[in-house]
Amino acid sequence: MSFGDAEQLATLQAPDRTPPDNQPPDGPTSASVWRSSDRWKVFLDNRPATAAAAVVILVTLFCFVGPLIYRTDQIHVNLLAITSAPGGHHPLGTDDVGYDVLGRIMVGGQSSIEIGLGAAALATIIGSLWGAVAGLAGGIVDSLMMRVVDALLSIPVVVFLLVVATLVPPSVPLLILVIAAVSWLVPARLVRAETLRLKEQNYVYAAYLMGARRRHVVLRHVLPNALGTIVVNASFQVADAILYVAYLSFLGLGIPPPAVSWGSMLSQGVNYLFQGYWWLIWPAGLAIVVLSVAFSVLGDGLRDALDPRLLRR
Amino acid sequence: MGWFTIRRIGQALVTVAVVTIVTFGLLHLLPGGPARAILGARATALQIQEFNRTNGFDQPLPVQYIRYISQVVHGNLGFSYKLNQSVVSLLAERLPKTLLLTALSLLVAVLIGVPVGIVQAVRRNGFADHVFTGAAFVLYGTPVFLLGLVLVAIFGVYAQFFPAQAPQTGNVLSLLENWRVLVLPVFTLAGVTLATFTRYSRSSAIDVLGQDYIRTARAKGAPTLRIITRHVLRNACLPIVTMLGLYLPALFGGALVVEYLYNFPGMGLLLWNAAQTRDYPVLLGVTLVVSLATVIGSLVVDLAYFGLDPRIRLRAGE
Repeated sequence: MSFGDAEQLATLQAPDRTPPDNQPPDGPTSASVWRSSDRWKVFLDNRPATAAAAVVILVTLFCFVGPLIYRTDQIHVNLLAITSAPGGHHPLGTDDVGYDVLGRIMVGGQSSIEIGLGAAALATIIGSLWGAVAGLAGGIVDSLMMRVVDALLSIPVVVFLLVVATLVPPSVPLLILVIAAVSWLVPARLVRAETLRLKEQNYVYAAYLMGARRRHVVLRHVLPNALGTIVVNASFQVADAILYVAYLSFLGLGIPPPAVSWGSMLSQGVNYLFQGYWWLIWPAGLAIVVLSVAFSVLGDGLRDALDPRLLRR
Repeated sequence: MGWFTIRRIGQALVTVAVVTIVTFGLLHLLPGGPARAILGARATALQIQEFNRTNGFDQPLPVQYIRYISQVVHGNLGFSYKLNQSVVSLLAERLPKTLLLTALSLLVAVLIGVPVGIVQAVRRNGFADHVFTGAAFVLYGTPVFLLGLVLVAIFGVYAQFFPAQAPQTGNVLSLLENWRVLVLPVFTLAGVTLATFTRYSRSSAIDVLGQDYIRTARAKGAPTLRIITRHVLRNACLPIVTMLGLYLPALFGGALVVEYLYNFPGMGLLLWNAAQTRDYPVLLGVTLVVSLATVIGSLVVDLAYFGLDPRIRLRAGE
């Protein structure tokens, strides 16, 4: 779970945290005065968030366009040039079978980014729909749906991923599916809470009065209005997914070779910690941290821009 | 109190039921089912048939599920054919060590995280606030194993203050006597929750600082230090209690990675080894126990929260 989830979730769980006089007035007042240009301005004025967005774009370019410019052989091992120190032809040295580390970080980043974005998108879609349906349905359906979420939340993610990775050999699409399978829970909870608030709004009543079906209400009224919450959470989801991929690869259960990821580079590099081959460990580690921090900061900035409730802070 | 407690326990029971369905389902998702998992890839069709018949795996799924539940209720979590030991006895050996590790790390995280958060709230938007916020983001984005590697590199390899590997024998008490081995694993695991705790106690302390009773205390002329220790600390700690419940799963997951990194013989390492050898009874048994521990943990946390905060009690009594 990320910062965002934690803060948002805890607000749901401890309703007394914000005393009534601190709470914004419900209803259209707080949301409708927010024009999209204001949101952009808030976001662009937030220097850490714009910097984070720039970092995300740069890292993506580095990983996907980088290999076209900085060409390295990431397929054939080169046992004549193993663990050579940074410098000369290899700005970041070579690893224990002779792959160029800089080029390897580019290639390894591709899978991290693909899985991170894919899993976050899938989890967000599943979670939002689940939460909106549960919130609108109410009653026993709602309770049952949310108990499923509670139960899955109490299975530690790393443990679940470990078990699944032993059952099925991991690949990029599979990892997207599996990580999404554990990540949709938080958006489900958030969107449900948002739905509970939204479904009491007059325009939802009006839609029902005009004969709208529940599906129409979910897709046209509830989800678009919960979009701020959803987008913010999605950004944190990407950060988390990148970390999960790294965990799995580090534990030796990531995408199998010849594919490569930052986590698996680290887990190989660890063996050389005591030999002082720092370039086998820290560059890959730094890459993970930079990208996941960038997505967290981005999410934080998006929340400031999209969540009118935080305006007073 | 009564109604809330009953409802909360009811919820926990439903959650437990769903968790068992998931672990039961995973057992049957195995390629070839439980028989293949236990007998191995070279078992013949006849052997598998025989195994299924003797162990009741040929019966309808609902019947099997009820059998599974009754086994679990009687404390039978399966048998590790690889280690030739029952899963329960493996757990009895390993669980206390993991609990010690997680409890100590939580303590460290709270002792560091809460004061830092309060300092940030008091000096809001000041230099210290920005520095700690940045640090929290970086710490949050750092995977546990990387944090562990940094600590090992600094304190284990270069400075050699603390050993980078846990002792493989002995029980919990011997671990406590030999406290130096615990330092690096505990601080690494504390990193999992530290960033969030800081963040969280900062925002709840900001809420508390805006309350009328703080203004009253100031108006009475209470010194700042007293206001912080008497009012802010106590009230800002409350939401942290909720966080503990939410973070138990992450903590167990983190413990797995930390135990792997330091070769710390706890439940996480047991699980990792089971994943390496495809020891499914252990994998699923441990998953079940960890999840149950989480459910119970968050139940206890919620009830404690209920007891700690009179405002909730009033609301529930309405």
